[in-house]
Amino acid sequence: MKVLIMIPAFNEQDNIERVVTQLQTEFPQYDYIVINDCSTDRTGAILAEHGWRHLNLPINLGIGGGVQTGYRFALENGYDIAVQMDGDGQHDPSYIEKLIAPIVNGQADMTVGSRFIEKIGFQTSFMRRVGIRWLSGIIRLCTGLKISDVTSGFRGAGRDMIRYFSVNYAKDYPEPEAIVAACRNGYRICEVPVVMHEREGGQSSIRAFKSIYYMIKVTLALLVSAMSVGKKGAN
Amino acid sequence: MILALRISLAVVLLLFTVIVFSLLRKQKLNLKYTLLWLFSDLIMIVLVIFPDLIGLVAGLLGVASIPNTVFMIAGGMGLLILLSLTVIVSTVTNRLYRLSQSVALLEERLRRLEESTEQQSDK
Repeated sequence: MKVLIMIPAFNEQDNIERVVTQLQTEFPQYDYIVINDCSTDRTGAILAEHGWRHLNLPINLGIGGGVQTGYRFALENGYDIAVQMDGDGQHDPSYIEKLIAPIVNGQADMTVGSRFIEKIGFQTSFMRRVGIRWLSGIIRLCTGLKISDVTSGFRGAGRDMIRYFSVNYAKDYPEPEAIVAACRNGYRICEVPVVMHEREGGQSSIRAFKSIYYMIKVTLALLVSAMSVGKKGAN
Repeated sequence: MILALRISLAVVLLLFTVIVFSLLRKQKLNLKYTLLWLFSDLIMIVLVIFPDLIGLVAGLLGVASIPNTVFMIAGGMGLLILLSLTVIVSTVTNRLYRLSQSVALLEERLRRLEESTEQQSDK
């Protein structure tokens, strides 16, 4: 199985060296690609200096656009499994094997790594957990799926899922929206318990979590996703 | 507000809401840019259901006629939406400029690379 680890990165100069070095030295069995989302710091320079595999987006697309670029890369280069992993070091690559197991076994098209199933490791702040619980409830309403860590960016996708996501991937709140979109279009989703670490440097891209306005927008986006018809895949 | 106006507004708003959601569903509209439309739609629906609120606004603004106030509010929301669209167009234009520049820079690198490989094979 050809596995690709997609690492979206926006201004991760403090973390990206650690993340990629660890992958190269400890997990050489996986291919990786860093998607530099038009960073304004030294992220691009660091990637170039080390000669690491990366894509430089010419304009900033956000996490949705960035990750979708990764899925297109995975599709064009014939990967069987694509793993999304954050560029800030929160995700532990030693859990990748566990994360992709259901896809390898043919039991699921997509897997989501959850911090909250076994509740070990970094559990994020109280407010964010409240917000995540709410979104989890909305997703359950729309799809019947019981996913606990709906904003987790640590996920795996099989060939069919890669093909779908390369054409249909949410721009604004992709983590929860992708779950709804995948489910509504007949793909099987499975949650896998993992342990995550706290972000060490830089800034999270989801900072607005505390505002009610943000929650309304995400909820609305999920409801729209639930009623949306996906576009047919390419190839 | 006259009942006839309330009914005709309600019908139009209902139709409009259905159209907007249909476009959202077919992904012809991005939710991010449709939020103001939905908000305006909601405001108008609230005003149709609670017409006394219009009287309140009319008083505040010094407008004598109730239907005029309704159309003024609708017009005001329309202007807000137009303004937001102008902001969006400006942003998209800037990004397009940036993207085009990137393409030009890439084209030069590619051309330089092609020329150097041609020279290599000529030797």
